[in-house]
Amino acid sequence: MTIRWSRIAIYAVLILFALIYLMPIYVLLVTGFKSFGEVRLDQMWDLPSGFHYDSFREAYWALDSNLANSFKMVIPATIFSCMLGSINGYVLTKWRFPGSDVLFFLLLYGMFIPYQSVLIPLVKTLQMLHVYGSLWGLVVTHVVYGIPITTLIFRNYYANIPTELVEAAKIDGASIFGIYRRIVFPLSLPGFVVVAIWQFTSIWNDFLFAVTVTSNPAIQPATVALNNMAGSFIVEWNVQMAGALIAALPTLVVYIVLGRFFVRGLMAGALSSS
Amino acid sequence: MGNIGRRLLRNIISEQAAAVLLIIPSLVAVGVFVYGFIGWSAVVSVSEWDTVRPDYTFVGLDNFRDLFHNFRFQIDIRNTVVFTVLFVGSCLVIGFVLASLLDRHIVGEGLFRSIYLFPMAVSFIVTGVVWRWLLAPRAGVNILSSKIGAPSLGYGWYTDPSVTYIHADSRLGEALHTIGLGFFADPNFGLPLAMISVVIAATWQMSGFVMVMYLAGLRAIPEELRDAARVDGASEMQILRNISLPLLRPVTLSAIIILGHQSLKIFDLVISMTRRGPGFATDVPALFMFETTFQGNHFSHGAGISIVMLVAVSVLVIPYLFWSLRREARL
Amino acid sequence: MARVVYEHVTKRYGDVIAVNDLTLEIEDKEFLVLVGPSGCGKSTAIRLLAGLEPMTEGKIYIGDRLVNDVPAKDRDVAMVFQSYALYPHMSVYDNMAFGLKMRGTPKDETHRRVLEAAGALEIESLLKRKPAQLSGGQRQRVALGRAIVREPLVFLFDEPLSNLDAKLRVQTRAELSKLHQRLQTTFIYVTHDQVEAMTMASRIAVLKDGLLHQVGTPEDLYFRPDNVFVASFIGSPSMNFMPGTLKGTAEEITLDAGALQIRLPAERSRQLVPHVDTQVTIGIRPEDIHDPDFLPAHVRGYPIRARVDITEMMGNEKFLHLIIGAQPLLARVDPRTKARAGLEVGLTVDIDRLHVFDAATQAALAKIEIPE
Repeated sequence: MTIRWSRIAIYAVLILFALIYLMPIYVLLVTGFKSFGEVRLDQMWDLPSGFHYDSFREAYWALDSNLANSFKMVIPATIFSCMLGSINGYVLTKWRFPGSDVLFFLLLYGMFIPYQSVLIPLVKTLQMLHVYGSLWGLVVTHVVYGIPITTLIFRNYYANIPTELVEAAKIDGASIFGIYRRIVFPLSLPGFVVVAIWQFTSIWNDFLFAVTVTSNPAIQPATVALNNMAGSFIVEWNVQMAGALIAALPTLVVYIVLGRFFVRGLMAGALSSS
Repeated sequence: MGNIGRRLLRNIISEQAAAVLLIIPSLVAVGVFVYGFIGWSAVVSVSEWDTVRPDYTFVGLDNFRDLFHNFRFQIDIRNTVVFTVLFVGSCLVIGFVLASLLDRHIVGEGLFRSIYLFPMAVSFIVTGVVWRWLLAPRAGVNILSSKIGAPSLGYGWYTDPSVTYIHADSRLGEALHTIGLGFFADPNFGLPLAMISVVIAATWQMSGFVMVMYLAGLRAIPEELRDAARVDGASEMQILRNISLPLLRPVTLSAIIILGHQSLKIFDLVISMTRRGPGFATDVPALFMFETTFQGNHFSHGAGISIVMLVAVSVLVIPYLFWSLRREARL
Repeated sequence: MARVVYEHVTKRYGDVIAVNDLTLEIEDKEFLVLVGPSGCGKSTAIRLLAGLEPMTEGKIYIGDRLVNDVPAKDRDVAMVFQSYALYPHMSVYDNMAFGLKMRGTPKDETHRRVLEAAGALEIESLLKRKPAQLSGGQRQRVALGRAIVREPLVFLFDEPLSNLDAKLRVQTRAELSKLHQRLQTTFIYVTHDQVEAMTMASRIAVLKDGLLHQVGTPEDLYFRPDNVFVASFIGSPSMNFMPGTLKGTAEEITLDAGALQIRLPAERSRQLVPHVDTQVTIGIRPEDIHDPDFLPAHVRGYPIRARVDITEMMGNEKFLHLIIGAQPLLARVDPRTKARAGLEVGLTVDIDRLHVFDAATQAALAKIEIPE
């Protein structure tokens, strides 16, 4: 019967960890649903008496324009990011030219750099282009700095499309872009889903670029607004928690519904051979 | 060369030209926004730009000298080392433990995996906000124990300014002194206890990622190898140590590099959870850079910090990229 | 003592029965081959023996020890896997030393044993290399070496030759037989290839769908198959089968296969008398149909006529694809035969090598004698 005991121990450990991982969500939910009267720091772990929406209302009221800003920024950024990544991945895998490997290396390095090392020039450049402080400035930023990771994911994805398909099309007389349009692009849907989810999550969750490029609270995305809210001494902590939940909701929903694709993006980003 | 040959050559060249053309926009963009800007930052870091108005007067390495003599920056280096070691270490251990547990035909494996991984979907800001309250001295985890009848914990968590370090007059301190490493017995080489809170939050966020990587790695090991080891006389523990772990070295390396480079530039989590902390206990270079540049207008110093960060990350990442791409080429 | 006993061993995976009530005794120092088509349960059977899977029912003994609850690492068996399962991150030396190391064998003892085994297998020069740097044949030797070094009670082999090319396979077969002689230890060997079974085994156990159909020496199985399946599985090209009925009396039984009628001699008629009027399946091996011009001395023949469909020249013999009535038959005859495609020819059937099986139960009705 020793075998049974070790199985029980395994499940016990797994469940314990699961509870620890879920602990913050529990606190977020429980706090969010409490009425203002019930909210007390020393009763953080107690369940609410019912479903109260006061905290959510306040938080949403504080964040709603910022949430809209996030969407307005994330969606175009994701779309452009995906398109660029797809074309780049396609060219780098199916149309090797001398130096394409070196270029790929240089591209990947851009994924790892600390963005602090480009912040000052970035600000100056965006000011020169008159997009500093606007959401379009953020879109441009995210599109450009997203090129390495989107290219990487698409490159890994396209490596699995047999080169024979492209060669057959070449023999049939198609041009480089024609092949992309007619053969590669239609096969790319899973790749697009993975990249879109990854970029949506990364860009929505970004803080550094958001807080650097936009300074006007009316324009700032949700992450910055949340941080401001959390740093203020006026806003009640339960509203902060509700705000955190609201700000996290879009990416959480994407994760719950499309988690499978999220993991694929993860693995590609880890450069481990799939 | 005949007609056909010439046409073929022209085709090949035009193909390659077209290929290059398609990716030129991206190459230019990355070239400017990454490499160009890095160069620009480097220029700023050796300039005298200390106010709102840019000033590119060359001052050599003065800024860097100032930086390394700066008290706050020294603490930042210490904090980064401490954070990196603790963060990467705990993620590796927890990620591996969870992966090896999940690799045993667990009912509900998919559910467990989703739970361990979901923190990755959330912003560091959200994580910071939540864990700030979870580890607040008068709330959160401290009062959790009272729920089960035990007395409340009294930890200060991130409000604790103390630093554990090897004291010069301790046995270890004296031992270090005799081998000429006496300077290690100093708070500058100690462990700021407040940092532990940040490590906890960061590990919560990222250990799921390590778990996924290890799980994939474990699954890639053919079961036949483990069967052979079993027949050879190895216990499950011995199999883990002698077969699985060595075969997982590439995964461990990748995890270390990816987590490591993130911990060197950590910013979002700190700014939302603890900011600089008591006595700079949780201050990090990225935070220092941000404050000094955009609030203090010391652009040259900020650029200097960013270049130091860049060099540190590059030392980690460039060899890894080489190793990784060469491995791919060989496969 | 390292005899192995399976006692009513069953292994179920959900609804699928992989091994069905297997009872088998394997003597010490035997070379027993478990043979059968894919999915017959042979691999499962040795995995149960090795302790890699738990049994659903039954008992297994190694030596005199009941090993049902003994974990794999303590059963003292060694196994050679189909894809060798060499530890890729260890050198050849470490691969071979691994088992001994896990059991705490002292270093010098380990060293001695590894060198000895490496010497016997002629792989001393490879000791420092890693598996990825070896050829298929070399890897196989290392896998063997890893097993030999353990000096186990039983050696298990799971289709170890399938990944080798044909020539290497023939060579390795001989080497394995010699190894068995030298080591004087029980070998239990799994394969789907009946040639391997026939050439190497001291006894063969034929399995299908988890059931043991017959166990015996190669001669037993070749000359006296218990049923149609064993008869068809052993011997290549496989036995010809014809449906028919038994007619006649104790004096003279006739095998009535429609277009073909064969009268049996007295001794065999007496054996088959109880089964007159039963539907039967008649079996005759291709090598037991001869060209009468080149009939071997000892054969007691019975003449038949058939039309030749096609011939295949094999060098040392000719295959004749025949048709009698609507019944196809394959014959292996002397290459000098005058039979040609399209001709009707007369052939001689070795009457002492005819097999008769009950059509319903598939079991052998009367067995022939094994020649001296």
